[in-house]
Amino acid sequence: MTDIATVKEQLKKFIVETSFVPAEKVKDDTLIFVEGIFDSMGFLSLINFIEDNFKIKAADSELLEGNFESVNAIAGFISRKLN
Amino acid sequence: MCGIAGIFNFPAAENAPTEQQLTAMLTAIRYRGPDESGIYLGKRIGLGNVRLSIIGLSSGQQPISVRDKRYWIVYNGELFNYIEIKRDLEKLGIRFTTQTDTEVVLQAYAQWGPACLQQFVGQFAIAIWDKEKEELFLARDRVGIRPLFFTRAENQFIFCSEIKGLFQIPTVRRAVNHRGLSQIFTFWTTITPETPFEDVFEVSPGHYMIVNDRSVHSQQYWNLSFPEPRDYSTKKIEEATEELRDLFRDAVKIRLRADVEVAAYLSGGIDSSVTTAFIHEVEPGVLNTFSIGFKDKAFDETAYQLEAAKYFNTNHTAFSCTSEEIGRYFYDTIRHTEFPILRTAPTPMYMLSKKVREQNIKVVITGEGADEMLAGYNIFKEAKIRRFWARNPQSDIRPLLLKKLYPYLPMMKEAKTTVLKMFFGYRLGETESPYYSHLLRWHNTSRIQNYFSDPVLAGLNGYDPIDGIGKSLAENFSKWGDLAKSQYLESSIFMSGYLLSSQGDRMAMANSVEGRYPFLDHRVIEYAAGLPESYKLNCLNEKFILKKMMKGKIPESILKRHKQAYRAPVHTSFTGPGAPGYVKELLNESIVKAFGYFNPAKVDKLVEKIGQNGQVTEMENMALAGIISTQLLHHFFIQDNIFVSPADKPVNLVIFRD
Repeated sequence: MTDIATVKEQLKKFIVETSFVPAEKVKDDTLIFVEGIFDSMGFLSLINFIEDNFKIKAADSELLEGNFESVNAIAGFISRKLN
Repeated sequence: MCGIAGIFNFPAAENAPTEQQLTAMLTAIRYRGPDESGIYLGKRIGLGNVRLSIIGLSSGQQPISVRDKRYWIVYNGELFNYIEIKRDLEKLGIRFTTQTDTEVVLQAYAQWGPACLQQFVGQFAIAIWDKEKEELFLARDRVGIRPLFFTRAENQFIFCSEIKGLFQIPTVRRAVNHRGLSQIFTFWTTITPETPFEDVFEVSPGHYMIVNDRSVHSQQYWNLSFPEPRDYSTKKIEEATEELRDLFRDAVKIRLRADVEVAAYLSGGIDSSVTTAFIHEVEPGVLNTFSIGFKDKAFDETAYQLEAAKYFNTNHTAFSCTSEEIGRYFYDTIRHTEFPILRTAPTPMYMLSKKVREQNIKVVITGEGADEMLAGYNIFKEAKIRRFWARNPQSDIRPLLLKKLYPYLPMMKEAKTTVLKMFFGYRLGETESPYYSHLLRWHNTSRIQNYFSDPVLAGLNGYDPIDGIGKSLAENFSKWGDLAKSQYLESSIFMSGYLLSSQGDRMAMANSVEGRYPFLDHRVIEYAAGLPESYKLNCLNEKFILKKMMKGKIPESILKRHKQAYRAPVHTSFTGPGAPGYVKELLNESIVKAFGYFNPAKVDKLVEKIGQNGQVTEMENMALAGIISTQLLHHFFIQDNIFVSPADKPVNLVIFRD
């Protein structure tokens, strides 16, 4: 099983590399959409990344704000899917 | 900037090229060079040029020769780094007698042969005759900014900047190429080197040709190329932005080299604002800018154009055109495009260059190329969203992203998921296709081939132009990333074949105006190609690095605005009370039947449907423009409406005889 801390690190690295915001701006609980780090279009890249990297599939019913609003939320979503 | 023409005799040719032949060819394209003209005649060769003088105003009459009259050149274009190359040649002991870039091109060829092309930064079509080797050298710039066509007829090799020049020679056959037509009705252009005419070809962009007694050989010297994804530049975005800025500044700077005034177009979008910002930076002072708007508000960008003009404090000329005017000028447009077109968008560009010329301006800098090189077009995003959706084809949410792409299409506004699936679901799962990004667009466009007549369809015999694309792809295309592939397809087909020609060179040169494109400086192209995809299309944010580079340097509203495609009204230009008379004539059932390309009953039905004021689809608009322009093509080029009168001559003609 993937360690949750590693998942978070991978997510943060991806978010920083894609959005070009400084690394210190992306914390575990930063609301990445509210803060404008990603917009709705960025959502596409995020889902792509998660699906590719963690070999999971996001169904329509799971594409909820609560699942993706922050690194914590995304990591939680991934670990629920993997288990 | 100029027009060129020439005839080379193979050994079996009976008569040497004549003054009359070259004069007729030059007269047919004399608007490309209204200042001077010249012809060189040898036993086996004739070269001609009409000149629009821009560099070395008083010393640039062509043809010119060097090295004891061994090498002769006619040349259309600009070598922007001629000063640097001239310096290198002077170090080798070469002396120059004119101030022109033409002489630099010729001496560079005499010195280095075809390898000289690698050093050239420019936009050009070149013809050089080597008298000693009895060999003709033809070359075209890397992306095909300047045109060059050729054909063979009765032991002669004949070339010209425009096809109508070739057709002045009576032995040249004039027939529409149905395969070419099928290509245009799929890709908006033919696949190089084909043209809409049988036996007429173009020198492909990035190619040169050697013509002698032994062979006619075509050789590629440059191709748009991308690294494999793992080899993209690893530079940080800040560093890449600065490097791109320096490179682009130089691309603008050398494009301001001219002995006449250089002006600029402002479209109201980011790209032309960028070029204008850099022109200001490099050469502060009064800049003349021009823009075109539309009376039809759905297409109009005047507000943004004026905002940019105000921001840069330029001496701006804005004008706007009506659908009626577009309909009227579409006639002249096709005389100049020499290709059928599926939109009317070139026509306002033709009207714009007319305005520019009225103010005695010969050179304009424009923003073409940014959308291709830095991923500005919706088609790149569309492909990305379709790939995203294809991973979960059942999803009702994923396709909703597509709605954001085409807000200017009326049917998209209210589109529900089911409708989006219908529009965009075509071969959704074929993500491994090398043409995945363009499959949908090509498929949609190709449906207008349904209007072809039965004999044309029978002759095509199931021919599918997409099958032929594979041959024209770059060598390692299959290893490139998804975005790189679609950028390549967009640039090598649509940009070179349509945008830079039908909508570019031909519309500007029709009024003796030369366009210059800093984004198409090959150093900029190569640099952009090496950048990671996320620097260009970041998530779905297009031209990301360019926007970053220009923050605070162009109006914020333009930087942030939703990308709007440049379009012009189609069906309202050809129907209704103000419809031009020629349209009615050319769409008349008996004429459609006589010309033979289209099915008269289907054409009637289309015209009737559009006349009923219902909503006209994109496909119907394309069909209408395609049909009218093909009919016009026949009218001009197959019927005898492009011949010049023997009494007409190009301006200030001088003749050099061997």
